[in-house]
Amino acid sequence: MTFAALPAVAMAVLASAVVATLAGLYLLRPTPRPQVVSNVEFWRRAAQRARPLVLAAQRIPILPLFVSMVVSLGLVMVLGDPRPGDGRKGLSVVVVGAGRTLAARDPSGPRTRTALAVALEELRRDTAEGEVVLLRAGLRPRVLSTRTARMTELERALRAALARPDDGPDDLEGALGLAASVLQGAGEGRVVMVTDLPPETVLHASGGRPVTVRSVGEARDTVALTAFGARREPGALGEYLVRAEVTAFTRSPATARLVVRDRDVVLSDERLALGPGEARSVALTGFSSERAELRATLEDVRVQGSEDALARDDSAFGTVEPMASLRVLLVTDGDRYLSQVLALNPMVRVRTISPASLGAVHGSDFDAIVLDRTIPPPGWRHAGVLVYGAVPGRSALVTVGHRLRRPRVTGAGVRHRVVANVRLEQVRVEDARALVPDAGDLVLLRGDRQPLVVTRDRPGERVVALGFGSEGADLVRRVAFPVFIHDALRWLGRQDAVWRSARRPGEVLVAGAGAVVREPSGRVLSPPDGVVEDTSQAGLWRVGTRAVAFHADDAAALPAPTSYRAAPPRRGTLSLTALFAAVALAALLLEWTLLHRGRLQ
Amino acid sequence: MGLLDAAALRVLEGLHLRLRPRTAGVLQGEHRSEAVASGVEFVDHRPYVPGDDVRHLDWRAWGRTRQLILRTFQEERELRVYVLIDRSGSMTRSEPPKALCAQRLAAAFGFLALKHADPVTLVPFAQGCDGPSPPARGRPGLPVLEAFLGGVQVQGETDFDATVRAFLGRYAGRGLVVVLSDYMAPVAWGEGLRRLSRAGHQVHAVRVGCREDSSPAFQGELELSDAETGEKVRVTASRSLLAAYAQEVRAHLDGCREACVRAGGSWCEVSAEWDSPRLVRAALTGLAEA
Repeated sequence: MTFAALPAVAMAVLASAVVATLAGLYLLRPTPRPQVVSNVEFWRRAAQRARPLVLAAQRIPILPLFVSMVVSLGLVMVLGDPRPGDGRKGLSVVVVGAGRTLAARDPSGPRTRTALAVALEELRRDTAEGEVVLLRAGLRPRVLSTRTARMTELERALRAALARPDDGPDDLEGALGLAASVLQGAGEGRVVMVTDLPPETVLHASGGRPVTVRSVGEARDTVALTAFGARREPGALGEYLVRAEVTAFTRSPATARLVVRDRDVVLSDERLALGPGEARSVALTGFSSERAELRATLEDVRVQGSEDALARDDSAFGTVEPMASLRVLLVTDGDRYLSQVLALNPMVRVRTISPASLGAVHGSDFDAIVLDRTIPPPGWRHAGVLVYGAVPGRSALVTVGHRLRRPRVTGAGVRHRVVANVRLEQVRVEDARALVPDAGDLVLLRGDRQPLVVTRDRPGERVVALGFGSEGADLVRRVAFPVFIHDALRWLGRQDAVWRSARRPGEVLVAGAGAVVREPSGRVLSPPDGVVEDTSQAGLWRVGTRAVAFHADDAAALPAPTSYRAAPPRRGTLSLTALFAAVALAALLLEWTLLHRGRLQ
Repeated sequence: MGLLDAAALRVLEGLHLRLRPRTAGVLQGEHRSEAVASGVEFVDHRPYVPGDDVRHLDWRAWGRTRQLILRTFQEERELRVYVLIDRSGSMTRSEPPKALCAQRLAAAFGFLALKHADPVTLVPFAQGCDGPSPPARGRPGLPVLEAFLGGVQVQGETDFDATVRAFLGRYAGRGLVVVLSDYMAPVAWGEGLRRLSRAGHQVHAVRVGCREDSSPAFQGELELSDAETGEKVRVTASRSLLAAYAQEVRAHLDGCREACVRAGGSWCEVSAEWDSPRLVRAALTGLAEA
């Protein structure tokens, strides 16, 4: 048992009993009898002459008393644990947040320092009598320590976990799921989460176990780059568009300089004045046929009456891949919208044929094929097909359902590279046909809950199908039309690299076997399998000569990739405390033996 | 009832002090002195030297030898008896107290002196000499001495050296000095006794002891308190400690006795627990004769 596991009332009762016992012993102590003598000097000399020569035979009572006190104190320290309070029994899972906001600076100091202190406090309570498994939330929740009660091991892991918070939000759901798997079958247990969630947050781990939230930090002002992206302009050779969004999460007006650079070339340097809570978008263009490496920073951030508490959100990164040509076959009876939009992009070489000629053309000569209201011949297949205005037919690539008149269009809430730069849910559809997706197909747009845009991604086959054509919707009259068409063709042509300017921190980076990867901090990695799993740092990662941007403006939680496997209990090592207890006990027994042999007073 | 009971008086009636001649006083008395030529008891002949009293010339010897021979006589003079009584705090110990024992002995020495019409002076001491007892002559003086002894307050620390200095400065006449004390102070008793002897006194040291001083039967944890200074010492009374204490006290007393004898004095030890006849006989050992 330990004192730490006792509640405060029990501690008070125990302390009172000890005090009462000590007081009783003090009152009952053998007090020396007063005796008047003729002269004490003779007694003092006699006592000096009668001084024992060996300690075991000493008659000075202070030594056995001292030995007893030391031994008793040692036993109390070892057995009782001098940490009174509400220590916890059983298994505790301590989840430490490591999201981007934990890098903020509070008036009391860095938020990570507060989190460290709170987490250490929790660990001390939990290890008083129980054991702890330490988890790190962050973008990718993971287990930091096996089940242990060793404070030094836990503290080391905790300090490493909080050394650098991730450039993204905490995956609380994943962390709680991981905590639940740790606690599975553990009997008595609990979850303690140390993070900068609001104190009133109520969380539950799976299995209904309550989650104690130890909140650190407080609401602070910050000016952030909340969005940053870049893409090539389909209609302008070599040009790319850059869009940045700056938001003031402040309670008072703020100003900042937004500086956008392509490598060392400054594309824009603009001072922004933002009201409380205001978001400002900035669009600009750049020109480069080669790869652009973009970096946006907020500099000279000033908040009236306050300060920018989080510097981590003042930077954003992106890349624009070099221009690449695309061979496209347009099969149509004539659609001037499609023809014109394909002709816009000088890097796209288009060949237009009629549906009747489709059988005479080698599909392998093209990176992508656009079927405009065309049913291919039976058995016809191609690696990348855009079905534009799907029509029913036995050999159609996509099964077509009933007609839809002015359906209410809704997005499917799905992230896909084809719709990364557009918002199709704003399209007004007059006449369309519902699509029937196959297993594995992904619906990107719905009308009256029926699929209108579907993508299929199978080995050797990619399909993007639209249930409406140029006449059935106003998509062709929107700015998004060429962007959507060219993004779809890039995806169909497997030119994935140009699709997104940046990745989310935490995404797996597949560099390829033998590739050398350099983190934004400069550390060089050589993953043996060519896969870098820990990409929690925002910035420009380099894979060989290629730059890959990671930034957290839209970072989302990623599923926890690891599961917990309980480690076997440690054996074979005799702790120092146990050794100390054994020595103390031996000393006590020795003293007791000597006492009973009459060698001690 | 006085300090001396009937049994003690009976013992004392049969004794008288035996004084060394050189300690006799200047007045005539019943004790032989070293003073010659003016007494009545013939001692010796010696050649005449100018200045001698011609009345003591032995004319018969002149007739026989034609030489002037002088007859010498020993003069009988009185004996001054000084009794130094330790009244320090340590004398309160024992049952009956050592102080009472010392007072009885002082009365006994006084009685012997008074019996022979010798002057006796009782001088209590602690850190110095107190005032002496009033003059007393003859047997009727005994109650006077007993009354004086009854008024002595027993307290204070012992400073025998200062006591001797004060005594020698105050009392010029030679005599018998009886020192009644427990000698339970680790001071240089021998030096004081030697100085008394060098001053011409006959020193008789009587150590008034008790069982508590010589072989105490203490047990357990004790907080010892000094009867004179109040100083405290905590000890655990074990057999070895008691043995060491007895050895320490014995060595001290042996040192006092040796110093006393070496100074020409006599030493005897009595116990406060003894009855009066034994006490008196023991205290007068070597000093009185039947």
